[in-house]
Amino acid sequence: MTGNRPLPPQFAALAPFVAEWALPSEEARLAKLVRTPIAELKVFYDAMFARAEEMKHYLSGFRLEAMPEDAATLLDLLLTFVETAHPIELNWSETDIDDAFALDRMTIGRFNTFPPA
Amino acid sequence: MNEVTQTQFFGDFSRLRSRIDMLARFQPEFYAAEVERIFRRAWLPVASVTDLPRENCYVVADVPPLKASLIVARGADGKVRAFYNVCRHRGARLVKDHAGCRKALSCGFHGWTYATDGRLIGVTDKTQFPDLDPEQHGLVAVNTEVWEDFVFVNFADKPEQTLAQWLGKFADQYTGFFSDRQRIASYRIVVDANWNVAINSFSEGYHAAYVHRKTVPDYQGGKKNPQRHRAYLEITEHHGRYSAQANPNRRVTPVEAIAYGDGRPLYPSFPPFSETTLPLPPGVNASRDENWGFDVAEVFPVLIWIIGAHWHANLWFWPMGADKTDVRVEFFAYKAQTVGDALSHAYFRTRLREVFREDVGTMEQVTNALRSGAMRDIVLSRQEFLLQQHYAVADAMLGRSA
Repeated sequence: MTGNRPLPPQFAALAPFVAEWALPSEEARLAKLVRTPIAELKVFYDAMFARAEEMKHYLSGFRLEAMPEDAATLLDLLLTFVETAHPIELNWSETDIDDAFALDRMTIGRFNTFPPA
Repeated sequence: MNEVTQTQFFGDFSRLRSRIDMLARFQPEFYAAEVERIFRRAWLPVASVTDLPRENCYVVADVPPLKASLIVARGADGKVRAFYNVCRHRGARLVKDHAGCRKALSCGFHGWTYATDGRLIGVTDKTQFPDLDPEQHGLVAVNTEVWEDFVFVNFADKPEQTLAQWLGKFADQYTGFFSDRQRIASYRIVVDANWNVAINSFSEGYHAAYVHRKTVPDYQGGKKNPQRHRAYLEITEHHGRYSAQANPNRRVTPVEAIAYGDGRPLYPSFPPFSETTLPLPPGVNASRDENWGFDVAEVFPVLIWIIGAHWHANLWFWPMGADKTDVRVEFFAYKAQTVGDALSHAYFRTRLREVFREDVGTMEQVTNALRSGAMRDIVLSRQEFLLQQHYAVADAMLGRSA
């Protein structure tokens, strides 16, 4: 679903990142993060960091619940950037922490006590 | 040795012990006693009122130590009740999904139907049950009380204390705090760890400089409090809480600055308390420390709160056996209205998620090491008084002499 999502014209330069990084949920963003080598994450981080304030400014004109399709793509890119910045900013050597609890044993977002998000 | 501390201590610490015998707690018979003497007698938080937004909404809450599945429902009369999730006909699981809003709950086995207040309102082929009195066959209720955003249940036939008595000093000190929030993340992990070890991972801050050196290296401490002593630590009859101090000279990373630039600052950003525009109830940052970071409270026996000005986390530690624990976590924050709020939420939930995963990473190691019998007792500092309190309360309920 992410392959052909539109971007606002002034952010067309970010199009190469859309398919891989404009992700719709925390679960998808985390899965992408931990399967990406840190050097590749840094490429995404740098590209996004250069435009992040501009993206924020553009998106601030829209309501969260009524986001046009191209702005929604941009917001997913920005949210993925925010959610995956920690390994770069905290100087981890990998995109996951070696002594944290294994991700494949963690259920994200829905389990039997709580309704789905 | 003179104590050097920056902590204000409150409460009766006379029954606390700095040495805790752990090996016995991993034995199945000890666990059986914990189930009967702690979990069957304590008030247990099992659900959030947030999830019951209107009449006829329900959630299913599993309570592993009691091997119980509960339906927590808001009836057509608006009242919240909890029932065993069991059809009174043959004992089938009544509700199989985990949440919804329906006027009637029908059993998939033979079609018996119940109202959301538990009444049996429909029996299929009823004439074939000549001696059935529907009024005697409503869902089996469990003692239920609502406090703030939490639904508590008590499995005793007759609870020894009311919920207000059980909560003690906490009961009227968090008014409104947990309301008007949005759940922004939830996680579940089943760990091969003892539930005491699991909950102990979250009720002291002594570990933070070490376990969390990769995720939040400098959020506490600083020049004025290098040992990161709690600003405030209090124990009550059953529970305990403390306030952690922020490091005012913490390094803010570039993306944190972007993420919190338009929304409200969330963990690990802790502005001076006097800049917090919210009215916060007296239980939150109880000492009104200007340098406040966040609070941690243990609501014995299963719940930990981590509380900041605009956010909180609920962490449940449900024992499934002597060495298996169902850890359920949810993060709440103020409701998002703008893109800036969504960015705040995104940064917060992922930064705190990684901190949480580091804490969970210690539980199985500690359980395995202690279960080996390598050592008999653990030794606890005064900064770990909430752990001492946990065992004092547990052992009192178990009838163990100190």
